[in-house]
Amino acid sequence: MPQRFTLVLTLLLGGFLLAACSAGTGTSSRVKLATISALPKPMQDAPAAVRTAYQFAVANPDALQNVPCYCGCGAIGHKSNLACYIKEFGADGKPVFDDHAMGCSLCVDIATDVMQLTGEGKSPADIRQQIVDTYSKFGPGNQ
Amino acid sequence: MARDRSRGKGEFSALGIVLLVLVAFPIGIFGYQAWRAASAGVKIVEIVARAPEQGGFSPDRLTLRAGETVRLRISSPDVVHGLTIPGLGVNVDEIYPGKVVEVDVTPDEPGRYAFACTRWCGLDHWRMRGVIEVIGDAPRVTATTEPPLFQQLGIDLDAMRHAAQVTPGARPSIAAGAALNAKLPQALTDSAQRRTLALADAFQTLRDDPTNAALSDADVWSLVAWAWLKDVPPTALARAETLYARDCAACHGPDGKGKGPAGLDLPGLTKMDPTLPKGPRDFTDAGGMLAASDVLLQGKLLRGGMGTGMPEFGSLYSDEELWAMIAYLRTFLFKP
Repeated sequence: MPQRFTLVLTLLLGGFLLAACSAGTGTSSRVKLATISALPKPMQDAPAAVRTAYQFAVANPDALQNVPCYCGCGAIGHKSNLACYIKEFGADGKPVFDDHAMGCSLCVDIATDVMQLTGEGKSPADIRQQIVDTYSKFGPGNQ
Repeated sequence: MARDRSRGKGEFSALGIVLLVLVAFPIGIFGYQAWRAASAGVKIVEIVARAPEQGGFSPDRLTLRAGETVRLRISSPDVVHGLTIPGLGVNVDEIYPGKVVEVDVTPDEPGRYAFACTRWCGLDHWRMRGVIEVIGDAPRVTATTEPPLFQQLGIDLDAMRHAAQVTPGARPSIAAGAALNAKLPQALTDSAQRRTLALADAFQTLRDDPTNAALSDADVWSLVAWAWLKDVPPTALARAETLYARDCAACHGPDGKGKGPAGLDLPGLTKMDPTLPKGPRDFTDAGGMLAASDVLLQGKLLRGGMGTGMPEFGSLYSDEELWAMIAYLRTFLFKP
């Protein structure tokens, strides 16, 4: 019995150490993300940054709708960064995806920034201002 | 009973091994790293570079403090990667799998510094980027103090554009243009004005000038080539050539014809203008390139192609590098 206790303790300690090792990598863990299975197959297979941006868009549409995009997509009718990921939400609440962000570096950079700032607890107004400050050098925004 | 004692010993040994692997080993490794960091007096930041499909840079967002020296320990578990942080003067050409590269950086000024992989590590290599946010008491620096020229001039990068109506029959020569000793109009000698002109329009202006009446069309095209490249220092072209090989050739091809292997299956190709050939821009296509001003190319390069898979280079290239690259792109049509 004491041996089993020691073993459990060891495993717990080891697990804690491994968890500690991996902490601090990747984007903030305080943001809500949709499951990968909620994405269409091409987005599931996309590079990690793109996949995560789509997961974030599904779970936080308001956060991306709050910020402009600077990739030039205003020319194709996009009204916010959200439109690069989701065309609309259907009557059943399910997203209709747009694959625009699959081929766009700025779209994903912007969503990644919004995700990070959201995780840091910044207000929507502050997030929007920071996005404008960072990306307006790339061209006119779509808001 | 003896058998029980033997089993007890075995379990004890197994437990010892588990303890060693799970506790002593990690403590040893991290203890060693902490000791190294403390003895060196620098903070150590581990960066793992993986193919973008496997996560890219991890972490891809870093916050550093201005004035504080940090040692970046970069490793790769899969293929060869590279790392550039232009704003901090960091360039690591090769990060081999299983090896660790260490680079010390001491950011001077608060600001946002992009970093990127510089080796073609896979089809999604262009996605492999990250950002270092440097915080501190001093004001943040920004790469540019005013909007880029294409914005100042209100140029719509995505507007439909027609190919140049006039194109040279043969490759114009810069040297031949120089040898003509022709006087160029101010619009072509002043770089700010020249950059706003489509080269085909410049040709027409020179062609219509009575003082050039004796020149053939080929001569006038050589004048255009000379006008565009005469003031570009060889060092700038050499730098652009290096950057082109590093950042552009995989999609646009080493010969500039847009047939690079990484450009064949970009996710945004279906989004491209249906009236244009599908795929990365062919820089040897006279109709397209001669209809484009330098300012237009600056915008495209700086911002990237909207949804087409062409990444933005505004956060990686300096202004000088942007203009040098545009000049270099002209050399696919113009010979020395």
